[in-house]
Amino acid sequence: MFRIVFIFLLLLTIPLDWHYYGRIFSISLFHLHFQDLFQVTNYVPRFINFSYWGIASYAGWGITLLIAIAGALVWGFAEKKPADNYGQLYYWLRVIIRFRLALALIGYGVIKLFPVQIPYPTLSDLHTAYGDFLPWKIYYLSTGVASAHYEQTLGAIELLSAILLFYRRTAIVGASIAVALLVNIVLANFAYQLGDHVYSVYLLILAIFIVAYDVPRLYNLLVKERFAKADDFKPLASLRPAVRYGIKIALLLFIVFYASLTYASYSKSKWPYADVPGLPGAYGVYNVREFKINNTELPYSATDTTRWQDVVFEKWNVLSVRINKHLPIDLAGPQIDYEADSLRDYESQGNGGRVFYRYSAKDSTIVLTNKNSNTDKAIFKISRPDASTIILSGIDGHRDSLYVVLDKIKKQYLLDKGRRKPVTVN
Amino acid sequence: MATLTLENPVQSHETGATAASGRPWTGWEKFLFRVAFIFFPLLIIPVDYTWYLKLFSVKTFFAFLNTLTGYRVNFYPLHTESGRWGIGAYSAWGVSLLIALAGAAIWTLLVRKSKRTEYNNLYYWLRVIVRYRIAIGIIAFGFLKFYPMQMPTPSISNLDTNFGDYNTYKIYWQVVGVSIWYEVVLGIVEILGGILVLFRQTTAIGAVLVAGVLYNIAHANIAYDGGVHVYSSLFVLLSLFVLIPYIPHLWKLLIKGENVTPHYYYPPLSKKWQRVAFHSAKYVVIFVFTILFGILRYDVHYHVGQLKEPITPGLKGAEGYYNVTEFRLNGKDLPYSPLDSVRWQNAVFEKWSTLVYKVNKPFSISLQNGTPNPKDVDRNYELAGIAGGRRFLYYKADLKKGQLVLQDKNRPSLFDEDNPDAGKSSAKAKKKGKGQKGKKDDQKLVWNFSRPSADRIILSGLNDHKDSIYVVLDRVKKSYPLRLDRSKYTQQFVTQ
Repeated sequence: MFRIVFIFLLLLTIPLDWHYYGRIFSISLFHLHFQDLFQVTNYVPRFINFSYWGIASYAGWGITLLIAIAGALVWGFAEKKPADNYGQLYYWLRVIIRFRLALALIGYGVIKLFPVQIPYPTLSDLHTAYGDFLPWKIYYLSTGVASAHYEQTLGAIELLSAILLFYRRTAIVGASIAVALLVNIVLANFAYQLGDHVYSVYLLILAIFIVAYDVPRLYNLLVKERFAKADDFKPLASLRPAVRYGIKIALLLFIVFYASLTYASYSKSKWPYADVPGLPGAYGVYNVREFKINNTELPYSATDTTRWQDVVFEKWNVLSVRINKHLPIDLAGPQIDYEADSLRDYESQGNGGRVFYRYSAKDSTIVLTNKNSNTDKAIFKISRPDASTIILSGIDGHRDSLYVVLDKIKKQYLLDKGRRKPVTVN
Repeated sequence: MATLTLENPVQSHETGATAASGRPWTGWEKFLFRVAFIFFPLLIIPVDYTWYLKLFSVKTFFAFLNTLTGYRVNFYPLHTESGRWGIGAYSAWGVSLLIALAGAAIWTLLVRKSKRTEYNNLYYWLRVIVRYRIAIGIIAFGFLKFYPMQMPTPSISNLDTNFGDYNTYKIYWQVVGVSIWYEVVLGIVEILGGILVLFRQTTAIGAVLVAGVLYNIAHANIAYDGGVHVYSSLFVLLSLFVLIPYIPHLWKLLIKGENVTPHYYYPPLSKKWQRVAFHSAKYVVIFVFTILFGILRYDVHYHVGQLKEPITPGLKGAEGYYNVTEFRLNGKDLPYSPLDSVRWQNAVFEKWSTLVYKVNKPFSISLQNGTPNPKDVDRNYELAGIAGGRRFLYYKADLKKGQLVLQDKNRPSLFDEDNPDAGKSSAKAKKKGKGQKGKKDDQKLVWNFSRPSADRIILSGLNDHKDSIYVVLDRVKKSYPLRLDRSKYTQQFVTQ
């Protein structure tokens, strides 16, 4: 039994997937971004990919388990008499797993401590109907609007449990906190299809594995209220103190370095949104006062499938349009592995209510590219007769000529109003 | 007899030197105990006589139990912003602590001649009271989620509301309502935590569970203006208090790596009647607040219908989202416009008897919790914390006459389970504005309706300003991405 668990967990823990190394060694040391370091912490053991979802997503584990059972049998035959050093192996397995788990918690803790994992919703999100989001996006947006340092606190707790896992004696406390956090994370992953169901279950298994070591002791102490024997295990071989402290210091340095990169991104960059600024002074939501297609004016309509209903200009170079049409929804889940400005798709992912365009403006020309489809390109002349009006005219992605007059709306959001004083808004 | 042999080894340790609580208490320990002995009962045992009036005036046994589980200390509500929503809401804790400190000081003076060396017995009973308070409160909380009624699934009108037109507290509840089984599991965890705290062997693990879960709830309530931060913090405080005796042992065993033989004081219960009384009281309380409470809560939920959402079915087969194809005001056709403050943009018939229409006009927003209410017209969870120019109308349909009698749902509620003071203040507000506002609140609209086809409803009648309206509604089949199962697709983009 021990041999099975030993091989199984080792196989899952030690990165055997060459993709992982491929990614790590492609990291450029001169353009280091916190996501690169996040990737170092984020090895998801899958091995084979039958399906991303459901029970099949754990298929790689099944195979690993079979290998582990086979390996354990061979191992059993290979040794003449049962070795008595399983205690030692068990110990080293726990060491590896403690640090593996700690690394994962650092990875996720830091990006919550400096809240880049779950950012505040965009203006486009505020103008999307609740039902038009995918469940994971609703979960993220809902977490993103929390105040009182809620997300940061969760990150700090993850980080704390990671640091407690570094030390043998506090590992049980760290692992217990991790179990509590991970149970909720696993549940939320299944409830909202967040997409990390394999990884979060894996981490939960690791945390339970660490806690399990102390369960008999705790059971005696707390449940039976009788004599509880402390852990008197002494590792036979131990790393030289220099190596031990070296590893711990390296890890602490890693945390500091990773945290400062994350903080730098948090404070200087808009990631996961684009960093290229939008048209100056354009930020806001616009009513589409006038809309001509091929010189035919279309009046306001809730049912027309071509007329724009409203337009949002973000602070960066993205605008989004609401049209009464079933739009393709980007089903991709939240990921922390995209970086280039033009590839930052977080805002359009999971949003089925709006069309998102990335734009580049030069002089009076603005080129719009659909974030979900590079071939959908529009080229407009833009004019701004006054601060609150924008006029676009040109050819859209379907080669129709459009003439659109946008009026900025002064909108107050209930989301910003709190509930402490009476509120009247529309 | 089996229990006796089991307990023997424990008792033999009792005389041992390791028995921590066998030794005399230090002066500080005694003083702190006196503080705790006054502080916690102040938070737990109601001293407000109106609470007792309410308790004994309720009509059902369930309401009686429910009142018992939900006491929140509040000596004098501060009517400031912080007093309701912020740090000031914890004032009752501060007041209790001051009283406890003063009381403990007097107590210490009075007993300075006493030879008493410990308070083991009193400490035991204080912990019992605290544990049971945690258990009955948290189990009642848990059942609300177990029969998922605390956070209902988003209604059609709510699905159609823009994210920015939500108040944060509604977002916090709605996201849980999106996944009903997640809510049920959260409920099970709370009930489990409560049950574990009821038994002394599992008290420690239960208290850890409760402290962890309720800390999260308390912080989230502050983060989203949920409004029950003090009440949920109370459970964290009580759980931490319950954990105190275990902490030195855990520290010794795990951190310092020393063997531990725990000893906890239990009252001797030497006489038979004491044991019988003790155990029967224990199991009656457990039965009443777990099994019986669960059954009654079920009954209240599914039969009596004490709910946040209305239960009267709406017009048969009318449920859905409607475009406003035609809108006439005093006979004059108004074209669709997102800017018009009179012309409807869309309308929703809920599964229950609520009609919602949207116009471009600011409304006063219901910022209540939308707690369960006995009457449909008062069940206002659906409009709580929701903006976007929506007006929510409760209606009674008279099928013979083809009429709807409608009433604005956005009116002060007299009963708010999560915030007992809301009723009082809104009742006051009602008295104040009795002249015109009271009348306007109760104003009823009578509209004729006809249904020429399955997906079309035509409404006509007088609106609030006595202008005649004529509205043609056409149902739109909607499929919500929120209901989309991501795992069913392999491609990256899906058009519904």
